[in-house]
Amino acid sequence: MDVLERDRQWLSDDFKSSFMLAVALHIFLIMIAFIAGRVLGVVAGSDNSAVEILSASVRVDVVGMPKLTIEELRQMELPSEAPQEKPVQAEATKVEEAKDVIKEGDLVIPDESKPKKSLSSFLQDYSSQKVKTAPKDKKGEKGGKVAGLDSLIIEGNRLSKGTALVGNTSDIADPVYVGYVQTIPEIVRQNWRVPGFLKDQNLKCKIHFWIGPRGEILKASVRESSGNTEYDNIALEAVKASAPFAPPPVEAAPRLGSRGLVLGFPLI
Amino acid sequence: MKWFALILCLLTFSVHAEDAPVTMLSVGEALDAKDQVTFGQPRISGSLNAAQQKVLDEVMSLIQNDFAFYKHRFEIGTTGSTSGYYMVAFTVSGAGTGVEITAEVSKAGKLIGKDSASPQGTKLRDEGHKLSDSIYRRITGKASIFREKIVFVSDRSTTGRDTRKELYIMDFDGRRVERLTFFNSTIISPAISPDNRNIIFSLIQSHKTGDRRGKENKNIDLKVYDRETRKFTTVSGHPGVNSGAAYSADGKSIYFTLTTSGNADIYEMDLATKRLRKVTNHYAEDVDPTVTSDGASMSFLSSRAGRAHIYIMDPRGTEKNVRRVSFVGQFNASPRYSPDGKNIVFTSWVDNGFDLYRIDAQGNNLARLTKDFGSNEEPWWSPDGEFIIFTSQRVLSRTKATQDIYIMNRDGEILGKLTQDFGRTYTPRWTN
Repeated sequence: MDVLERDRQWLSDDFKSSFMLAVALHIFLIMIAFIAGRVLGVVAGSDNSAVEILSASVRVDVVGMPKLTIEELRQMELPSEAPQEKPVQAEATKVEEAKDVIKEGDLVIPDESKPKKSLSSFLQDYSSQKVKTAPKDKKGEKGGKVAGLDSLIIEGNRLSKGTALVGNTSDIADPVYVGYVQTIPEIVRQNWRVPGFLKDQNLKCKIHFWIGPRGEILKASVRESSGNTEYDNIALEAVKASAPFAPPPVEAAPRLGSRGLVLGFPLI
Repeated sequence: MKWFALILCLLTFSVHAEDAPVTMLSVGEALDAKDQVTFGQPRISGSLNAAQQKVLDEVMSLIQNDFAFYKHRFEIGTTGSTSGYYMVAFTVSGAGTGVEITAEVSKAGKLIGKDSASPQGTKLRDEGHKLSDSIYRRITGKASIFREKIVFVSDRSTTGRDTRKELYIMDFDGRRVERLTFFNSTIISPAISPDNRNIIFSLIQSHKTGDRRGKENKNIDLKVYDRETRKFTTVSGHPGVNSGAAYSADGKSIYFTLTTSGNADIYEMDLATKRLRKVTNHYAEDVDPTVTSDGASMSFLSSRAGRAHIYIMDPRGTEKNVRRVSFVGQFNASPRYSPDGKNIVFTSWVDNGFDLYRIDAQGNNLARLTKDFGSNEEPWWSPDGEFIIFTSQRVLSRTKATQDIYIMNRDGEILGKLTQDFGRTYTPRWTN
């Protein structure tokens, strides 16, 4: 009995200390791997922030052929331009909104502001965030008729909204965000007119811009120049002229305000 | 425990940082901003006689008419000071029965080039289009359609019940129509070589079978017409259908449909060696090939999905990278690749007639081009990809219908009719 008791005591003491040591070592190793990975990742990447490329997804569905011709779609586009209310409104409220959004954006990035949040609670929040479905009519509500017409024109030349999303979309997990973001290029393209002599030079540039909660542009800048200032400016102006966009869904707004979007003219 | 908290904080931090990457998207092809072009009044050095003045007037209206085709690219006649502003000044002097015209093109006040032409007699239109083309090249840096020819088939020589479809050629603007063939037979699907010299077409021909009763065997053969030597040669006379030929961009080979193996497949033929290579190899019917100008992609129509649908593939291999492009439409036909390989125009059956549609090679952006404009078939891109020619049929009564050739720009804006009272016309083609 005595011997057994002593053995047990010794075992548990020894076990405790070596277990703690093992745990500490494991954590240490994981941390080293983690930090190394991050450091290497940053070094490898050309940019500080991670970049995700969204390519237009092909919606496949068995629907009819489009009824309206391009000419007819263009004629429908005109009334939306005629009442020049959109841009005016944007100008008036721009400054105010910009302030709001920066605050909101800070809150949304919980990196520094909420460091004590535990992993499990974060994961809970994160997963619940995804489950929320976006009130889809939001877009139409604020933009009213004009926004409705815009989206109609954009959808006019597509195969309509299908049931399946096929394509190289890396962010399928966030369909509300992706759905909103994918409407942007076509809206901008409608304002992007390049004279023939520039078009033939096969130039390329990238514009980075941030969208506020009401669809306005908070900031826009040239991220990668084509080398031709005229070409860069035309692209930058095309982005600015496209605002205000439809107000982004609540789930997408923080990311659009803090991270922004990069558009490749013409390609990424 | 503090350790654990710290580690967890670090972990959550990194998860958050990775959470929202910057999203990148492509805008796609830019829309065209119009170049502003002003044509000055011709300055005449010396004096012109009546005949010379007439030639000058004709050439000036020809140039104006040529540029009107590109009205989606140019704004003619307005002045401005943007960097896309062009001015064309003409100086003219009399020369024989015609004139000598020099066109000086300047951009934002700076001379960028000078071209001359001497239109007279039978060369009037050739020289006029040549000058238009030079001006267009100075402004855009690209070739225009002004010197292109269109080949087509018409049944106007038909007498009685014996339908005859012969081959004709005309300028891109519908002028100077010339008859090329007198086979008293039916010609289908012609194509013109990139150098505008050879025309390839299929002909329904009777062959003696050797039968004692003199029975003849009809076959669809592939023939070439050389416009310079004015000679016809049979390129492919395999039993069955030899048709739907499209030239490769270098003009050295053709892609066409052969039915010798019992089912329609697309083959490539080297025109010099006549060697055949199978491009499609499928138990379904594969017809109607067109190839992009870089030769890297081919569009065709195939029934491999059960219905006729549009496919693209790499024609340098056999059944290489086949991809389906169209998924809708009751009946799609005549897919034609734009020379740059970005778009495909095709005809599709809707509400009792055919209409033209355009889709990009990825299968996105399906757009309708024609509507309420008769039944529209046989589209074909211009070599610069800016225009589409096609046939449009109007039913007049139960037994009568007209079918003429029209030209529109790539967005479906119809620019005009190229044939008028010329029988029923079919399969307009120009160099692609």
